[in-house]
Amino acid sequence: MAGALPRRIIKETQRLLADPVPGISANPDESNARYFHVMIAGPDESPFAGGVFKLELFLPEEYPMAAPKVRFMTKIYHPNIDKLGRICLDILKDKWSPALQIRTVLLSIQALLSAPNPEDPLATDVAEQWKTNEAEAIKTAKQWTLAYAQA
Amino acid sequence: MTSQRTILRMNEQIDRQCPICQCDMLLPVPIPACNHTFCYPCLKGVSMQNMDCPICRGPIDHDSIVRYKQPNIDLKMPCPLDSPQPIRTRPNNGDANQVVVKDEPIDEDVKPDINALRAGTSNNAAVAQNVAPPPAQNYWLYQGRSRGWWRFDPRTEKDIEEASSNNMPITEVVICGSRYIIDFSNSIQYPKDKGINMKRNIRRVTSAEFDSLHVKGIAGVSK
Repeated sequence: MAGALPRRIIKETQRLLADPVPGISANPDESNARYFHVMIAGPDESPFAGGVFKLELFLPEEYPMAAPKVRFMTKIYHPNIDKLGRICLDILKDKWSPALQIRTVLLSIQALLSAPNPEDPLATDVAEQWKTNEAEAIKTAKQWTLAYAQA
Repeated sequence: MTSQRTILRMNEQIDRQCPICQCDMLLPVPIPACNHTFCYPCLKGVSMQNMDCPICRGPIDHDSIVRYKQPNIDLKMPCPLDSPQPIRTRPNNGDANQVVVKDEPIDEDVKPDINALRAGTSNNAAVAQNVAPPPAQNYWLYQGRSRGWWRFDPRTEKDIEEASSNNMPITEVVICGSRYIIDFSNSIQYPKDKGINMKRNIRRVTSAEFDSLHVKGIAGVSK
């Protein structure tokens, strides 16, 4: 028995396609309307500038009562993103609200690239480096951006 | 350039929209403590999951939501126009994952709608009547826990009617954040995760039959 795609997901998808967020693209998969292929451009003035980062975003059955599941597919050197691309962001966990949307989630991730938070790490070794030697950490992040995040 | 009229219309649109389902508000209900307003079925879904206000994270008094009454409720209210048809996956074409996207008016949002704008200054029932003149209508009801009948909310009703007119044996709807199976052949509904033990009777009625029954309210909101 095939379920219907909720109206909210249809509306969000239409708006994302018609009125995209600058520096972010999100396209539904051809075979699964709950799965989105996402690209986020590294923000200017951040170590990720010039990079294009691929992510996957999945809307679980309970969405919007439960948060979307989002993961970086592109390797990234960031204290709040681990080796598997998992993201440490409160709104994706206990601070989720059904008034948030795909758009606001992706904006928050874009903001996280601009403002890494080593005090709340997911990748502890990266966070350690970020706290003890920020210049070196930023240099590594730039190198990784050049090596892995070129479109 | 954004004209003043456009700005007014956008504000009106935002005020009418439920932050949870992002459609025109259906049975709008405020949270007593903070006054943030949502569709009743959306707010009930949030409240049943013990979540806080989706806007300000303030507390929700669950009892007041469950007991909510609307004395002047229009039991035959039409479905708001702003209710795009859900996209259904087609079960019989061999590829169960293929999504069939229907042609639909993509941006009714963007079209000027003077009637809705004017009506927006009066009450919500008037808005609904202006934007969606009801055709010869049938109603879908479910049986109350004790006795009597409730009407499904008009948006869910529209989905059920569509599935029924497509001769689907069963369909699935989301009510207050939970999935329900609508079983047309047995005229019952039940929560998908709890199963058939929680079944309730459902029926499709004409307007005259609707009047002859004592319909208690819509989707849990009683008169």
